[in-house]
Amino acid sequence: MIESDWIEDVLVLALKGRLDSVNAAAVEASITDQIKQGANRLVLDFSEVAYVSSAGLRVVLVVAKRLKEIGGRLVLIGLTPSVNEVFAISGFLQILTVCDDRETALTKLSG
Amino acid sequence: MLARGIHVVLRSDTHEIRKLADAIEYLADSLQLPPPMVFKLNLALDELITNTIAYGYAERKDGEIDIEMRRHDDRVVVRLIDQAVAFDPFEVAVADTTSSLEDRPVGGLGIHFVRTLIDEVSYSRDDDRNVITLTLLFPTPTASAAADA
Repeated sequence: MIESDWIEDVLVLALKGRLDSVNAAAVEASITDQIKQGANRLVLDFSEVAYVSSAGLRVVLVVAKRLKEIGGRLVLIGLTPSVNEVFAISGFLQILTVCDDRETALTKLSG
Repeated sequence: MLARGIHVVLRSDTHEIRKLADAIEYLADSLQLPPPMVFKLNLALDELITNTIAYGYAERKDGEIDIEMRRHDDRVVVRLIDQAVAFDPFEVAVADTTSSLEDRPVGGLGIHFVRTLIDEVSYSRDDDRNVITLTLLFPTPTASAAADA
């Protein structure tokens, strides 16, 4: 479900499949675990996520809040049109950083 | 001849949500629903059923949720029936979608999605059952779709 890749001090997590009430708790545990182990600059790649429900958005919000508390940063990339719509109607696009691709996200986080 | 509707009974277990996705996929094929409608139906039903399983049936796994989806001329009508405790999901407060990241409450978005995506929603308590009816209109007139078929 999650493929992780360190690029210098940035952790890129590529999610795959669906992010819904079936797997949200497991995904949240896995990401918060990475944060506990020291990851504080995160890229969440949604390009292979076809479906996100409110349970999935909850995970993103919890992670974003957690990173903000510890002075970390989060960038989302690869939102497909329907996933982007879910983020938009939640008003999440105003409080989260969204970039088109990995390169732009890494540039944003290296500073 | 294509089916005009579908009837599915789910157990009150979160994993059944994936079965719902399969049923909607099947309905989408046989009723030729456009992808945006499939997306809206999936998300709205997922949110309502997830709520019913978590709160209505309080994680009890032996409850049932009855789903009936039917196509009428210009719309799809879905009825969700359960025998959980009485609960009108449309009475919950409007979700906060504007405050800052620090102040944004976690949760409460599911019903906001249903209200935003579905054209008409209603709730009634019918004896010991919760009945939710959702109506989703086709984006283009059915007449032209029928002419194309």
